[in-house]
Amino acid sequence: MDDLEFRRKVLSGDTHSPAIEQAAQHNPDRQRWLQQARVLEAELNTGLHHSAPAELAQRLKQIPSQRQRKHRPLAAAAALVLSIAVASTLNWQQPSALGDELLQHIANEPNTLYNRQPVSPATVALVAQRLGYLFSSPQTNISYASTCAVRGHLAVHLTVQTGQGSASVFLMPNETDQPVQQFSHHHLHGRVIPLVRGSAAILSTDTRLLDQLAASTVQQLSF
Amino acid sequence: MGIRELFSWRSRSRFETLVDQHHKSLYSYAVWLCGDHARAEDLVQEVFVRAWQHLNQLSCPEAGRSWLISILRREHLRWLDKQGNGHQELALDVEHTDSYSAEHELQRHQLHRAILALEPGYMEPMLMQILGGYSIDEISAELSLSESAVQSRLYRARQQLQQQLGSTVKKPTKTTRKVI
Repeated sequence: MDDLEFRRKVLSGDTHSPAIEQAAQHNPDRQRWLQQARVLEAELNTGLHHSAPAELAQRLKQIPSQRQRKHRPLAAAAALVLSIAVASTLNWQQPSALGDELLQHIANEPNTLYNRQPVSPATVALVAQRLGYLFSSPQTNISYASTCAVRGHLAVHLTVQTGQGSASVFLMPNETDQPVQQFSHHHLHGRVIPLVRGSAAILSTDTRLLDQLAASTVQQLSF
Repeated sequence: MGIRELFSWRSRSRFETLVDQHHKSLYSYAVWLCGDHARAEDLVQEVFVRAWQHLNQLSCPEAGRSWLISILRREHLRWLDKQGNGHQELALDVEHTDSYSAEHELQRHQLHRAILALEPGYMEPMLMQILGGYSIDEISAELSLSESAVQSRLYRARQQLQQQLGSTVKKPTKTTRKVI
Protein backbone atom coordinates (compact mmCIF):
# COMPACT_ATOMS: atom_id res chain seq x y z
CA MET A 1 0.00 0.00 0.00
CA ASP A 2 1.62 3.29 -1.01
CA ASP A 3 1.29 6.51 0.99
CA LEU A 4 -1.49 7.93 -1.17
CA GLU A 5 -3.63 4.82 -0.91
CA PHE A 6 -2.95 4.64 2.81
CA ARG A 7 -4.16 8.20 3.29
CA ARG A 8 -7.16 7.71 1.07
CA LYS A 9 -8.25 4.66 3.03
CA VAL A 10 -7.71 6.30 6.40
CA LEU A 11 -9.50 9.50 5.45
CA SER A 12 -12.39 7.48 4.07
CA GLY A 13 -13.04 6.33 7.62
CA ASP A 14 -10.96 3.16 7.81
CA THR A 15 -8.81 3.97 10.85
CA HIS A 16 -8.76 0.63 12.66
CA SER A 17 -8.68 -2.24 10.15
CA PRO A 18 -5.83 -4.80 10.37
CA ALA A 19 -4.62 -3.75 6.91
CA ILE A 20 -4.25 -0.14 8.04
CA GLU A 21 -2.59 -1.14 11.33
CA GLN A 22 -0.15 -3.28 9.41
CA ALA A 23 0.60 -0.57 6.85
CA ALA A 24 1.44 1.89 9.62
CA GLN A 25 3.36 -0.55 11.80
CA HIS A 26 6.95 0.31 10.89
CA ASN A 27 6.43 3.79 9.54
CA PRO A 28 6.51 6.63 12.10
CA ASP A 29 5.11 9.16 9.60
CA ARG A 30 2.11 6.98 8.88
CA GLN A 31 1.62 6.29 12.57
CA ARG A 32 1.60 9.99 13.37
CA TRP A 33 -0.74 10.62 10.49
CA LEU A 34 -3.03 7.76 11.52
CA GLN A 35 -3.14 9.15 15.05
CA GLN A 36 -4.27 12.56 13.74
CA ALA A 37 -6.97 10.88 11.66
CA ARG A 38 -8.19 8.94 14.70
CA VAL A 39 -8.45 12.15 16.69
CA LEU A 40 -10.54 13.68 13.90
CA GLU A 41 -12.69 10.54 13.76
CA ALA A 42 -13.32 10.70 17.50
CA GLU A 43 -14.24 14.39 17.23
CA LEU A 44 -16.63 13.61 14.39
CA ASN A 45 -18.22 10.76 16.32
CA THR A 46 -19.10 13.07 19.17
CA GLY A 47 -19.44 16.35 17.26
CA LEU A 48 -21.98 15.10 14.73
CA HIS A 49 -24.46 14.17 17.44
CA HIS A 50 -27.05 16.67 18.57
CA SER A 51 -28.92 16.16 21.82
CA ALA A 52 -32.43 14.97 21.10
CA PRO A 53 -35.26 16.63 23.08
CA ALA A 54 -35.91 14.75 26.32
CA GLU A 55 -39.51 13.82 25.54
CA LEU A 56 -39.00 12.89 21.90
CA ALA A 57 -38.64 9.13 22.47
CA GLN A 58 -41.76 9.06 24.64
CA ARG A 59 -43.75 10.95 22.02
CA LEU A 60 -42.54 8.63 19.26
CA LYS A 61 -43.58 5.57 21.25
CA GLN A 62 -47.13 6.85 21.36
CA ILE A 63 -47.45 6.76 17.57
CA PRO A 64 -48.77 3.15 17.48
CA SER A 65 -51.57 3.84 19.93
CA GLN A 66 -52.52 6.91 17.89
CA ARG A 67 -52.42 4.96 14.64
CA GLN A 68 -53.99 1.70 15.73
CA ARG A 69 -57.35 3.30 16.22
CA LYS A 70 -57.53 3.75 12.47
CA HIS A 71 -57.23 0.02 11.93
CA ARG A 72 -59.93 -1.30 14.19
CA PRO A 73 -62.16 -3.94 12.70
CA LEU A 74 -65.04 -2.77 10.55
CA ALA A 75 -67.54 -3.91 13.11
CA ALA A 76 -66.04 -1.62 15.71
CA ALA A 77 -66.02 1.27 13.23
CA ALA A 78 -69.63 0.64 12.39
CA ALA A 79 -70.51 0.54 16.07
CA LEU A 80 -68.68 3.82 16.58
CA VAL A 81 -70.49 5.48 13.69
CA LEU A 82 -73.78 4.22 15.06
CA SER A 83 -72.99 5.49 18.53
CA ILE A 84 -72.08 8.91 17.11
CA ALA A 85 -75.32 9.00 15.15
CA VAL A 86 -77.30 8.17 18.27
CA ALA A 87 -75.35 10.55 20.40
CA SER A 88 -75.71 13.39 17.91
CA THR A 89 -79.24 13.87 19.21
CA LEU A 90 -77.83 14.50 22.68
CA ASN A 91 -76.13 17.61 23.93
CA TRP A 92 -72.87 15.85 24.80
CA GLN A 93 -71.84 13.07 22.47
CA GLN A 94 -69.79 9.99 23.21
CA PRO A 95 -66.23 10.44 21.97
CA SER A 96 -66.01 10.59 18.17
CA ALA A 97 -63.10 8.88 16.41
CA LEU A 98 -61.17 12.14 16.50
CA GLY A 99 -62.44 13.00 19.97
CA ASP A 100 -61.51 9.56 21.19
CA GLU A 101 -58.05 9.99 19.74
CA LEU A 102 -57.60 13.37 21.43
CA LEU A 103 -58.80 12.09 24.80
CA GLN A 104 -56.36 9.22 24.50
CA HIS A 105 -53.63 11.65 23.52
CA ILE A 106 -54.15 13.72 26.67
CA ALA A 107 -54.22 10.55 28.77
CA ASN A 108 -50.88 9.53 27.25
CA GLU A 109 -49.26 12.90 27.82
CA PRO A 110 -50.23 13.98 31.33
CA ASN A 111 -46.96 15.90 31.56
CA THR A 112 -48.39 18.50 29.20
CA LEU A 113 -50.83 19.51 31.94
CA TYR A 114 -48.42 19.57 34.90
CA ASN A 115 -46.15 22.35 33.79
CA ARG A 116 -47.36 25.80 34.83
CA GLN A 117 -44.33 27.75 33.66
CA PRO A 118 -45.20 29.88 30.63
CA VAL A 119 -43.62 29.10 27.29
CA SER A 120 -42.30 32.21 25.55
CA PRO A 121 -44.70 33.72 22.96
CA ALA A 122 -41.91 33.47 20.37
CA THR A 123 -41.66 29.70 20.90
CA VAL A 124 -45.43 29.33 20.66
CA ALA A 125 -45.44 31.32 17.44
CA LEU A 126 -42.62 29.19 16.00
CA VAL A 127 -44.34 25.92 16.86
CA ALA A 128 -47.61 27.09 15.29
CA GLN A 129 -45.80 28.46 12.27
CA ARG A 130 -44.19 25.08 11.64
CA LEU A 131 -47.59 23.78 10.61
CA GLY A 132 -48.68 26.98 8.88
CA TYR A 133 -50.64 28.70 11.66
CA LEU A 134 -50.09 32.33 12.67
CA PHE A 135 -51.38 34.06 15.78
CA SER A 136 -52.41 37.67 15.39
CA SER A 137 -51.16 38.52 18.90
CA PRO A 138 -48.46 37.05 21.19
CA GLN A 139 -49.69 34.08 23.22
CA THR A 140 -48.58 34.73 26.79
CA ASN A 141 -50.63 32.13 28.66
CA ILE A 142 -49.28 28.93 27.12
CA SER A 143 -47.52 26.42 29.37
CA TYR A 144 -46.85 23.72 26.75
CA ALA A 145 -46.26 24.04 23.02
CA SER A 146 -45.10 21.28 20.74
CA THR A 147 -45.97 19.38 17.62
CA CYS A 148 -47.16 15.81 17.97
CA ALA A 149 -48.85 13.13 15.89
CA VAL A 150 -52.65 12.98 15.91
CA ARG A 151 -54.08 10.22 13.75
CA GLY A 152 -50.79 9.90 11.93
CA HIS A 153 -50.39 13.57 11.06
CA LEU A 154 -48.56 16.36 12.80
CA ALA A 155 -50.62 18.74 14.89
CA VAL A 156 -49.80 21.71 17.12
CA HIS A 157 -50.47 20.86 20.77
CA LEU A 158 -50.80 23.75 23.24
CA THR A 159 -51.75 23.89 26.91
CA VAL A 160 -53.47 27.17 27.75
CA GLN A 161 -53.56 28.49 31.33
CA THR A 162 -56.48 30.72 32.29
CA GLY A 163 -57.92 32.03 35.52
CA GLN A 164 -60.51 29.27 35.35
CA GLY A 165 -58.05 26.44 34.80
CA SER A 166 -56.14 24.87 31.97
CA ALA A 167 -57.19 23.60 28.57
CA SER A 168 -55.50 21.69 25.78
CA VAL A 169 -55.73 23.13 22.29
CA PHE A 170 -54.86 21.18 19.14
CA LEU A 171 -54.43 22.75 15.71
CA MET A 172 -54.68 19.98 13.13
CA PRO A 173 -53.99 21.03 9.52
CA ASN A 174 -54.80 17.56 8.16
CA GLU A 175 -58.19 17.21 9.84
CA THR A 176 -60.18 18.83 7.08
CA ASP A 177 -63.95 18.62 6.67
CA GLN A 178 -64.55 17.93 10.34
CA PRO A 179 -67.96 19.14 11.50
CA VAL A 180 -68.38 20.88 14.84
CA GLN A 181 -68.51 18.09 17.36
CA GLN A 182 -68.50 17.75 21.10
CA PHE A 183 -67.41 14.85 23.21
CA SER A 184 -66.72 14.03 26.80
CA HIS A 185 -65.26 11.29 28.90
CA HIS A 186 -65.61 11.34 32.67
CA HIS A 187 -64.81 14.94 33.62
CA LEU A 188 -62.99 15.90 30.46
CA HIS A 189 -64.96 17.67 27.74
CA GLY A 190 -63.88 18.48 24.22
CA ARG A 191 -64.97 20.28 21.12
CA VAL A 192 -63.76 20.13 17.53
CA ILE A 193 -64.24 23.19 15.36
CA PRO A 194 -63.45 23.52 11.65
CA LEU A 195 -60.88 26.14 10.64
CA VAL A 196 -60.08 27.65 7.26
CA ARG A 197 -57.16 25.23 7.29
CA GLY A 198 -57.87 21.94 9.06
CA SER A 199 -59.55 21.87 12.44
CA ALA A 200 -58.95 22.90 16.02
CA ALA A 201 -59.89 21.00 19.15
CA ILE A 202 -60.20 22.28 22.70
CA LEU A 203 -60.28 19.96 25.69
CA SER A 204 -60.87 20.99 29.28
CA THR A 205 -62.64 19.92 32.43
CA ASP A 206 -64.47 23.27 32.42
CA THR A 207 -67.07 23.51 29.66
CA ARG A 208 -67.08 27.33 29.87
CA LEU A 209 -63.48 27.31 28.73
CA LEU A 210 -64.50 25.47 25.57
CA ASP A 211 -66.77 28.34 24.48
CA GLN A 212 -64.21 30.96 25.45
CA LEU A 213 -61.22 29.30 23.79
CA ALA A 214 -63.12 28.18 20.69
CA ALA A 215 -64.02 31.82 20.03
CA SER A 216 -60.58 33.22 20.80
CA THR A 217 -58.76 30.53 18.79
CA VAL A 218 -60.79 31.28 15.67
CA GLN A 219 -60.34 35.03 16.21
CA GLN A 220 -56.61 34.96 16.77
CA LEU A 221 -55.53 32.56 14.05
CA SER A 222 -54.66 33.54 10.55
CA PHE A 223 -53.45 31.30 7.74
CA MET B 1 -53.85 -12.64 25.17
CA GLY B 2 -55.43 -13.31 21.72
CA ILE B 3 -53.51 -13.68 18.48
CA ARG B 4 -54.40 -10.15 17.39
CA GLU B 5 -53.22 -8.67 20.70
CA LEU B 6 -50.09 -10.79 20.63
CA PHE B 7 -49.30 -9.63 17.08
CA SER B 8 -49.98 -6.03 18.00
CA TRP B 9 -47.85 -6.28 21.13
CA ARG B 10 -44.96 -7.78 19.15
CA SER B 11 -45.19 -4.99 16.56
CA ARG B 12 -45.30 -2.34 19.25
CA SER B 13 -42.41 -3.90 21.01
CA ARG B 14 -40.37 -3.93 17.78
CA PHE B 15 -41.35 -0.34 17.12
CA GLU B 16 -40.35 0.80 20.60
CA THR B 17 -37.02 -0.95 20.21
CA LEU B 18 -36.50 0.93 16.96
CA VAL B 19 -37.29 4.21 18.72
CA ASP B 20 -34.93 3.47 21.61
CA GLN B 21 -32.08 2.35 19.39
CA HIS B 22 -32.22 4.93 16.65
CA HIS B 23 -34.11 8.10 17.55
CA LYS B 24 -31.00 9.95 18.74
CA SER B 25 -28.95 9.23 15.62
CA LEU B 26 -31.92 9.97 13.45
CA TYR B 27 -32.51 13.28 15.20
CA SER B 28 -28.84 14.25 14.74
CA TYR B 29 -29.01 13.30 11.07
CA ALA B 30 -32.20 15.33 10.67
CA VAL B 31 -30.65 18.39 12.32
CA TRP B 32 -27.75 18.29 9.88
CA LEU B 33 -30.09 17.75 6.97
CA CYS B 34 -32.56 20.51 7.88
CA GLY B 35 -30.29 22.94 9.70
CA ASP B 36 -33.10 23.52 12.16
CA HIS B 37 -33.87 21.73 15.43
CA ALA B 38 -37.63 22.27 15.33
CA ARG B 39 -37.96 21.03 11.76
CA ALA B 40 -35.72 18.08 12.63
CA GLU B 41 -38.08 17.10 15.43
CA ASP B 42 -41.05 17.21 13.07
CA LEU B 43 -39.14 15.23 10.50
CA VAL B 44 -38.23 12.48 12.96
CA GLN B 45 -41.87 12.22 14.01
CA GLU B 46 -42.93 11.93 10.37
CA VAL B 47 -40.32 9.22 9.84
CA PHE B 48 -41.58 7.14 12.75
CA VAL B 49 -45.21 7.56 11.64
CA ARG B 50 -44.18 6.09 8.26
CA ALA B 51 -42.06 3.45 9.97
CA TRP B 52 -45.02 2.28 12.02
CA GLN B 53 -47.24 2.17 8.93
CA HIS B 54 -44.73 0.01 7.06
CA LEU B 55 -43.10 -1.90 9.88
CA ASN B 56 -43.70 -5.21 8.11
CA GLN B 57 -41.26 -4.09 5.39
CA LEU B 58 -38.40 -4.25 7.89
CA SER B 59 -37.52 -7.92 7.84
CA CYS B 60 -34.07 -7.63 9.36
CA PRO B 61 -33.72 -5.65 12.62
CA GLU B 62 -30.03 -4.96 11.90
CA ALA B 63 -31.11 -2.89 8.89
CA GLY B 64 -33.31 -0.70 11.09
CA ARG B 65 -31.15 2.37 11.12
CA SER B 66 -30.46 2.47 7.39
CA TRP B 67 -34.15 1.82 6.70
CA LEU B 68 -35.13 4.75 8.91
CA ILE B 69 -32.50 7.00 7.34
CA SER B 70 -33.83 6.13 3.87
CA ILE B 71 -37.30 7.18 5.01
CA LEU B 72 -35.87 10.32 6.55
CA ARG B 73 -34.08 11.33 3.37
CA ARG B 74 -37.20 10.68 1.30
CA GLU B 75 -39.42 12.67 3.65
CA HIS B 76 -36.93 15.51 3.73
CA LEU B 77 -36.78 15.66 -0.08
CA ARG B 78 -40.57 15.63 -0.20
CA TRP B 79 -40.65 18.54 2.21
CA LEU B 80 -38.08 20.44 0.14
CA ASP B 81 -40.20 19.84 -2.95
CA LYS B 82 -43.20 21.25 -1.15
CA GLN B 83 -41.19 24.28 -0.10
CA GLY B 84 -40.08 24.62 -3.70
CA ASN B 85 -36.57 25.67 -2.81
CA GLY B 86 -34.63 22.47 -3.48
CA HIS B 87 -31.88 23.45 -1.09
CA GLN B 88 -31.39 25.14 2.22
CA GLU B 89 -28.80 27.39 3.72
CA LEU B 90 -27.64 25.65 6.84
CA ALA B 91 -27.06 27.83 9.86
CA LEU B 92 -27.13 25.79 13.00
CA ASP B 93 -27.06 27.46 16.34
CA VAL B 94 -24.47 26.10 18.69
CA GLU B 95 -26.08 24.14 21.50
CA HIS B 96 -25.27 25.72 24.81
CA THR B 97 -27.35 23.33 26.87
CA ASP B 98 -24.85 20.49 27.01
CA SER B 99 -22.78 20.38 30.14
CA TYR B 100 -19.43 20.48 28.41
CA SER B 101 -16.55 22.71 29.32
CA ALA B 102 -16.17 26.00 27.48
CA GLU B 103 -13.16 24.64 25.64
CA HIS B 104 -15.03 21.55 24.54
CA GLU B 105 -17.93 23.74 23.42
CA LEU B 106 -15.58 25.90 21.39
CA GLN B 107 -14.09 22.84 19.68
CA ARG B 108 -17.56 21.57 18.96
CA HIS B 109 -18.55 24.92 17.53
CA GLN B 110 -15.46 24.98 15.31
CA LEU B 111 -16.20 21.46 14.11
CA HIS B 112 -19.81 22.40 13.32
CA ARG B 113 -18.68 25.41 11.34
CA ALA B 114 -16.17 23.32 9.46
CA ILE B 115 -18.79 20.69 8.62
CA LEU B 116 -21.24 23.34 7.43
CA ALA B 117 -18.52 24.81 5.23
CA LEU B 118 -17.90 21.51 3.42
CA GLU B 119 -18.48 21.49 -0.30
CA PRO B 120 -21.99 20.47 -1.37
CA GLY B 121 -22.34 16.70 -1.56
CA TYR B 122 -19.55 15.99 0.91
CA MET B 123 -21.47 16.14 4.13
CA GLU B 124 -24.13 13.53 3.58
CA PRO B 125 -21.90 10.53 2.81
CA MET B 126 -20.09 11.31 6.05
CA LEU B 127 -23.35 11.55 7.99
CA MET B 128 -24.43 8.23 6.53
CA GLN B 129 -21.16 6.62 7.45
CA ILE B 130 -20.83 7.99 10.98
CA LEU B 131 -24.42 8.46 12.15
CA GLY B 132 -26.00 5.78 10.01
CA GLY B 133 -23.25 3.15 10.17
CA TYR B 134 -23.40 2.67 6.40
CA SER B 135 -20.53 0.98 4.55
CA ILE B 136 -19.13 2.60 1.41
CA ASP B 137 -21.08 0.25 -0.88
CA GLU B 138 -24.31 0.95 1.02
CA ILE B 139 -23.76 4.71 0.67
CA SER B 140 -23.03 4.16 -3.00
CA ALA B 141 -26.37 2.36 -3.45
CA GLU B 142 -28.36 4.90 -1.44
CA LEU B 143 -26.90 7.95 -3.20
CA SER B 144 -26.61 6.35 -6.64
CA LEU B 145 -22.90 7.08 -6.82
CA SER B 146 -20.02 4.80 -7.68
CA GLU B 147 -18.05 3.39 -4.76
CA SER B 148 -14.94 5.28 -5.82
CA ALA B 149 -16.94 8.53 -5.91
CA VAL B 150 -18.20 7.87 -2.39
CA GLN B 151 -14.72 7.06 -1.15
CA SER B 152 -13.43 10.18 -2.79
CA ARG B 153 -16.10 12.35 -1.15
CA LEU B 154 -15.45 10.81 2.26
CA TYR B 155 -11.73 11.36 1.82
CA ARG B 156 -12.07 14.96 0.65
CA ALA B 157 -14.59 15.81 3.33
CA ARG B 158 -12.20 14.74 6.06
CA GLN B 159 -9.28 16.36 4.32
CA GLN B 160 -11.18 19.66 4.22
CA LEU B 161 -12.14 19.27 7.86
CA GLN B 162 -8.54 18.65 8.86
CA GLN B 163 -7.43 21.72 6.95
CA GLN B 164 -10.23 23.84 8.34
CA LEU B 165 -9.72 22.77 11.90
CA GLY B 166 -5.97 23.19 11.52
CA SER B 167 -6.41 26.69 10.14
CA THR B 168 -8.96 27.53 12.84
CA VAL B 169 -6.45 26.69 15.53
CA LYS B 170 -3.80 28.87 13.92
CA LYS B 171 -6.10 31.70 12.88
CA PRO B 172 -9.29 31.56 14.93
CA THR B 173 -11.03 34.40 13.09
CA LYS B 174 -10.52 33.02 9.61
CA THR B 175 -13.45 30.88 8.46
CA THR B 176 -13.03 30.71 4.72
CA ARG B 177 -12.78 27.31 3.16
CA LYS B 178 -9.72 25.91 1.46
CA VAL B 179 -10.69 24.01 -1.63
CA ILE B 180 -8.42 21.21 -2.69
